[in-house]
Amino acid sequence: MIVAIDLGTTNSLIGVWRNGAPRLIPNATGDLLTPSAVSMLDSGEIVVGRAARDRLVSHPRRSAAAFKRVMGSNRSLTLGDRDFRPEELSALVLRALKADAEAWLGEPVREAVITVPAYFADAQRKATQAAAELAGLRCERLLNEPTAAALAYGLQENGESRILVVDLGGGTFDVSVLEMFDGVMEVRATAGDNFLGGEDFNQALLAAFMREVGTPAGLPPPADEPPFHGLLRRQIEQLKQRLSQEDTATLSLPWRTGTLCWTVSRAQFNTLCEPLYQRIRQPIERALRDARIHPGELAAVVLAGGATRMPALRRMISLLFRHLPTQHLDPDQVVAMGATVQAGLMMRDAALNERVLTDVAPFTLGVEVADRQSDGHTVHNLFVPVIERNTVIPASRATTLSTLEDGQTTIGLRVFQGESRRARDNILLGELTVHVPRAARGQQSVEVRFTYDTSGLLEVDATALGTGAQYHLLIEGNPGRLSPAEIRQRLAALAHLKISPRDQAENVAALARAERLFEELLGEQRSAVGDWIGEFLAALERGDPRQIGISRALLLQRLDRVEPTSPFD
Amino acid sequence: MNDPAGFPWNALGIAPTRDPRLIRAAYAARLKRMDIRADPAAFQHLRRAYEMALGFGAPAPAAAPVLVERNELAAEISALIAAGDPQGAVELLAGAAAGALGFDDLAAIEERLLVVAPELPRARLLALVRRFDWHHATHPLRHAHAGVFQQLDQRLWLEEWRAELQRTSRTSVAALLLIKGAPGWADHLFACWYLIFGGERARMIGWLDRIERTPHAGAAFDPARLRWCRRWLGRRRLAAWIALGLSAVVPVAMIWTGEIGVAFAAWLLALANIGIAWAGAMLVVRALGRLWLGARFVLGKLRRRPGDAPGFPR
Repeated sequence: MIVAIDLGTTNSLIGVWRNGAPRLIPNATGDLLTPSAVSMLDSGEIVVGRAARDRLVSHPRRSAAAFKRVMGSNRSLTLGDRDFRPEELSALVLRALKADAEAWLGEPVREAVITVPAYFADAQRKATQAAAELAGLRCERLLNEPTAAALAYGLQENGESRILVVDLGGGTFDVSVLEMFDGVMEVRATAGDNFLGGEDFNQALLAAFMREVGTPAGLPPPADEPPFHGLLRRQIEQLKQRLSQEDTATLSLPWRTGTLCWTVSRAQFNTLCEPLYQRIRQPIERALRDARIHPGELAAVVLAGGATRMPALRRMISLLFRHLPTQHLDPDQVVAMGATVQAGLMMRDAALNERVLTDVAPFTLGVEVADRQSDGHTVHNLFVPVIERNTVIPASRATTLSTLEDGQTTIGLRVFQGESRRARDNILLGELTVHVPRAARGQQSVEVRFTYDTSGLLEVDATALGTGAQYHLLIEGNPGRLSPAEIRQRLAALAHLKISPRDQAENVAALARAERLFEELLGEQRSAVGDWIGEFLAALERGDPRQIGISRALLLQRLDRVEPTSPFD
Repeated sequence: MNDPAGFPWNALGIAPTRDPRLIRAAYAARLKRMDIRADPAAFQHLRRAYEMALGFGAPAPAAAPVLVERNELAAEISALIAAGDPQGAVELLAGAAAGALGFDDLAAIEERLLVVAPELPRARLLALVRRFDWHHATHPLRHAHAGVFQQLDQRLWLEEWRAELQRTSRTSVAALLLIKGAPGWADHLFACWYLIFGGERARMIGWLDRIERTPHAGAAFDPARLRWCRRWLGRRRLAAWIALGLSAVVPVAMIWTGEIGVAFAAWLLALANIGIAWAGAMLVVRALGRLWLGARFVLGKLRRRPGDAPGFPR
């Protein structure tokens, strides 16, 4: 059984292809969406999901979220007294999802299709694979998120059509143009921005709040006091969501003796986010240009990702394309549903017999060269593309490089990813030194072959044509990348970690939510919540499962009553 | 299947056609029967065939559907150019480009650009071209409008070269030769003299190479003149030997005849041929240098004692 996992910045989902239809699997607390948050309890146990998200407010120093944004880098996050790499935190989320799937399916799960932003670079993809490995899953394929979203929509299409998918998630932004004919779903072009998502809109709001209200009132800057700002961030998120529904919204934050109030209108919000909207427009233009498709030829513009709920974004898209975007599937679930289709394809499910999917390389990949001009000057640091972006994958392309100097004995190959003509403006993926026999310049050459597989992972092979010697580039040892040995070591370390038992998940989540509310509320409500927590803890102490169930239901019912209203939660 | 003559049609399993529907259907049918992951090479073969077949089958670029707005834009730009205001036309174009969402709109603007390009100051044109990011990012667009891009690109390059040629003071004479030719016999003589003895020979050859590698150079440079320049540049070494010989013969003749007139003539000749004298002197200096190095080498070998550092300074 191959499961499909949407490992998102804010929320993750797991699903399977079953009986000819996508099926999403609920987690231990009964939700389809599992927040991508990890927290360490005071006892040293690890909790994942909603409980961890609530603990971001109450225990910010022991909790982490949005670690997808630092995937593939060397940054580590500290939970309590232990440092975690982003791969490990993702692995903990994957592990929780896997446990949910195993409980629901009643069989062990080994293989998975995991979605990544199309614009994820090689290091980030490899980090995601490492995370899967750490979670005990074999990652059968990394699927691009907009492609997955398109799969979910494309399944209903049968004739020839072209669609554009805009996927604005919590932390990443992707655009894909797809063409469908005769059961073939072909990605024509992909573009995006790895550092643009719903989080950035929150940041813009937060910065404006601090500028207009916070700093004058003496609020500490965000880095100084994490517990307080955990609360503020949550308020900001709710403010943003309310602005999607209403024309004005007010944020009220308890501070010292009084309450800080900040009213924002939708127009103000749009002005704040204007630079972000501009950044959304550029990738859309580029994807359409690369695909050589005119906006008028598009049958539909599909929105995916929770951040596409923002009305201003939808208005911008409809203005751009002069028709309304499609969004009849839940934007939070569409990527996971599409991923289950891919899982079904890989299991060769009968219902998907007549479907094929082809994807493209999101970046240009190439090598650095120096070139001697005819006037004798040598220009260094030029980037020569080998696999151009939006080439259909799997792809394999080769190029031949020659020596530049007389008597040169080595050719240094530096592999880059990016679009700039100057190599140093692109991202370095790896280096390789090829030895060649001493000869006059231009006499010795090396054939460099790039092979790009369906998961978007690159292999580089070089052959010295003079000697026939073969070289293979191992893109490892870069900062932010785990070697197989390190993965084994980390796996052993993770095995020692105590994971909060799955049957306790509902209790832990209820308790975390109550603790969060205790911090958010004031006055009588706060003390009431404190009492309820005491009662629930007492029930847990006694250990009678039936009693605990009743007590938990009662607690949740009471919490619902005092929860500040938000149209979404 | 691997018969290169029948590619791409044999890989797709159809007769040659221009109908994209047939090509797509054949591609889709074959794609469904293969396992892309298990056999990437087969997929790449099929894909290459498919792309090639579609390229063959691409319809001749039809006249773009006319949009009202675009016509208005074109008319406005034409009016501005007619009124002698190319700057205004460019402003208008830049504004339209900023508002356009690529594709046909951009293509129309490119066509307009071609109309205004000759009227524009070079710097302005370059800035505008950069706005479109033609240098790297828009390969597919360039494919789609290859003709337009090539013309503009070539012209821009040539413009830049001409400007650069004329800016470089030491090659300005050469630039004049390349661009305008040498009309009168006196100019012609001067040109030959400059090409043989003038400085910056390597740079001149570089320019010639660059210009000859550019297909459109014929429009800006006369090919016959390029050949002529290259011929005279190639005669430099020979001329240097002749000059060396001359500069040796003239003083001898002067001493021999004892005539002041001959001496004066020789002095004048030497003055006129500082280039000759310089080139000749360099040859002598180089020859002497080689001799000296050789001598050092031999002496160093003979004199070397154990413990000395081997070799000699190069």
